[in-house]
Amino acid sequence: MTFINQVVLILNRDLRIEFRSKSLLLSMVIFALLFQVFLQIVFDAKTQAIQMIAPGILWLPVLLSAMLGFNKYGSAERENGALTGLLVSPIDKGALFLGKLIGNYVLVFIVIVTSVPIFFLFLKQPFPASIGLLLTTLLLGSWGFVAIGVFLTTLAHSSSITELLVPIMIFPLAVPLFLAIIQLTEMALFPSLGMGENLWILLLIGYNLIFTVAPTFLFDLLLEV
Amino acid sequence: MMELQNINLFMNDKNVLHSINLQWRKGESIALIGANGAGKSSLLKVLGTLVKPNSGKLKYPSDLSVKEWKKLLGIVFPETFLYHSLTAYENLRFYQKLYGKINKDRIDEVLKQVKLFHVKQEIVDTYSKGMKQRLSIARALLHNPTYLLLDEPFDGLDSESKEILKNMLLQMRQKGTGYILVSHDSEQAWELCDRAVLMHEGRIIAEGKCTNQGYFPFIKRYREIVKEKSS
Ligand SMILES: Nc1ncnc2c1ncn2[C@@H]1O[C@H](COP(=O)(O)OP(=O)(O)OP(=O)(O)O)[C@@H](O)[C@H]1O
Ligand SMILES: [Mg+2]
Repeated sequence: MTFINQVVLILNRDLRIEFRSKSLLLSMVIFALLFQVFLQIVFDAKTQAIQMIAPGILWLPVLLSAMLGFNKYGSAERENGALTGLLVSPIDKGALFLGKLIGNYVLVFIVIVTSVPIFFLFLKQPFPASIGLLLTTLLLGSWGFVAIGVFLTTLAHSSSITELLVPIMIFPLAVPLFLAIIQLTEMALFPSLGMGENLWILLLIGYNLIFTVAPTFLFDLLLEV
Repeated sequence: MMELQNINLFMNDKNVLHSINLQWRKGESIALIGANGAGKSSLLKVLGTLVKPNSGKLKYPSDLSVKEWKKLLGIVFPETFLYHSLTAYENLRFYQKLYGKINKDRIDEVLKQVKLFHVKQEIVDTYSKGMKQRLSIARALLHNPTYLLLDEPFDGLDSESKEILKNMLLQMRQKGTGYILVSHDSEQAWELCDRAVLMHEGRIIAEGKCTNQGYFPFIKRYREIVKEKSS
């Protein structure tokens, strides 16, 4: 079976299981929405203040909700020895990583689609100056974050590293990503700041490439006994 | 021929396997016998490439790569490898694709063999323990493996299902599929195999051909050796 077929096989398996129970997806979406409402209450009336930290408020629910997903997503694989079933099979572990990454991304994408419009609705934000830049940032930024998250969780579950390490390791690794997405989101929301966005987008793309391509190729070597 | 040469395995500083030498010819069926904790499951894990021995060598049949060896291998472990929120059919389709070939008729065939065809669209979570075990056996046989690792495959099966599995093993033996069978019913394992290998505290301490009259003398000798070692 080709590499792509293996990726699709894993993606299909996980999404079929997730969409059958929907409990993870629902809790991710509800969490993001409630958190958005919470932030709205906390920063109520301080329109000026909100403007300054708007990018953070837009991203925080999305990122935390994504974190919620990393451990739970694909957890069926850790029951009844299903992971052993994969490890004794001829599957390429890079395909396992990529299939999970795409599946996780699908869930986070659904969170973005529901949570970001609410951000504009609740926080009475002006319509973004550049909706194209905002979309690009959302899509690229969440991909990068999901990529590190899935990389760390897959590593933790397939080796002796404990999964408690994931939330500790993810933030230092994600610092360059956060810098880029906050800058870009600010440029997208407020036109006057629009400068040097190409550089940040390049950084984001480079970051995504590293955390997508490297694990895809390394996992098969890393996890081979 | 699959060959283990001088395999040593440590787990948490415990010497679980002790200079194991084993030759497993294509089509040969081996009964792996030994008390609890003798190292039978650990030996199967080494053969299934799940754990890496600390020293020693695995020589795969006709110098195959690890990936090619995995394709030839079918595994029934105490864990079923099943996804409980998927149906039996979905489970088998997933595992079939994992090994490459998609063939619906083959899925139906193995489901009929293990008598689960009529419930194939039901979620595995609703299955009884024995039904899950039967599905696990179907999963392992789906891709027509040449070598089978069977760790307590009769566990949880009722007498009728045991009979079915027994006949499946005998059939496969005729067709040239080799297997290593770990079972606590050592007399039954003896009946189903060409050769018996005895393990005790991580070592292979005796081997013998599974002849018709040979079981009781073999077990007697095994008890004597164990007594000798522990005294
Ligand atoms: N993860 C582990 N860490 C430490 N010791 C282990 C581990 N797994 C197995 N062992 C030890 O290795 C020895 C062999 O275990 P193994 O499971 O291979 O025995 P077995 O022959 O399959 O026994 P049983 O008949 O009970 O299934 C046991 O003494 C066990 O305590
Ligand atoms: Mg065992």
